[in-house]
Amino acid sequence: MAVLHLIFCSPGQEWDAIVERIAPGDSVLLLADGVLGVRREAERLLARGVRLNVLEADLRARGFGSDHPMIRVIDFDGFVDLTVAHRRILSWK
Amino acid sequence: MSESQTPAEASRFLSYTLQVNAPPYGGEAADLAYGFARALVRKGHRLKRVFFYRDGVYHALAGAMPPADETCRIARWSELARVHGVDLVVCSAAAQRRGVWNPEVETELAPGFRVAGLALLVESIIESDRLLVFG
Amino acid sequence: MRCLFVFRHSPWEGGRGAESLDLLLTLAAFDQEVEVLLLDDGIWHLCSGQSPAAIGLRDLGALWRNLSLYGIGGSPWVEDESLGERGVRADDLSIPVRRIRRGRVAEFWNRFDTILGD
Repeated sequence: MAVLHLIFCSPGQEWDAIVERIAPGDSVLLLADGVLGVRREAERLLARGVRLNVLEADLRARGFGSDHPMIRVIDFDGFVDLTVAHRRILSWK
Repeated sequence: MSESQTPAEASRFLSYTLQVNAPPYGGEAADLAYGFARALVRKGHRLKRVFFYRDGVYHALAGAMPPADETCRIARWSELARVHGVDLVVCSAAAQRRGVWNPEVETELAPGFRVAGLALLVESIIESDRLLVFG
Repeated sequence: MRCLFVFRHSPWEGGRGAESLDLLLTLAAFDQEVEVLLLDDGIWHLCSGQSPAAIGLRDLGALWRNLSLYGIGGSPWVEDESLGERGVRADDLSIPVRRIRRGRVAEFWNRFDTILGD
């Protein structure tokens, strides 16, 4: 019954509340400015037991990368696969 | 495969509705919707409809002509409709409110776009396996 | 189909609120089981004494007060922390609500088939 959370917004004040509304076992995809959270927020999300994915193009566009073993860096095909695996999809913008 | 995925869903193709609320110029959400839509049809899933709501209706403006070295954020949707038969719908009320469409005069929309009411979005959501909202 | 409609944005952001309610009511018109959840600045939709006309906005108060007429039977859910962080008490809201704690919202999603937002 996991949920897929699409986080479009850059990490800031509202992230605290968003993260608390994500259950362990849920999947998160960081995209658009949401990928900026990969530096400081990744550990907090992973500590919650969230499956963390980041959209590669958005990461690269911002000069970021990730070689964290627990973070999956995916392309649009991977994005589609995530949506196949989750019936409930929430957009946080 | 996540535990929320049933075996049937793992093996079959799903139908999707995309709701695009973001304008073509302003934020990245509309770009992401397009990238997702393209990957979706490439992978063989059924993109039942892309419904443009709120400022998303600006996608249907005819006559966009960005500089030659820029991607046209409108023409690429038209191309998706032409090549893959994707149904591109702009909300009548939202489009009328913004002057994108006017029922009283003949309004030209970008190729591949048509106008319909919110009921069509709801119908589409009910009939699709998945709904994704961009912007 | 069980649908959840989430409001997270202030009602004074141009026409956003009106377009969100249009979609919500259309959804309800299709006889779907629709519930409403107000988070973050979405809670301001239910604050009393508003005069949206002062900034050229449509008054949505009557729609909120009459959700049941449109087929939305249950009172909206409101997150406690969203109220508290904004200094608003549930008693101050214009209509009765059901309250939910932020910690419970993470499981709340699973009651629904589809989730939409403002």
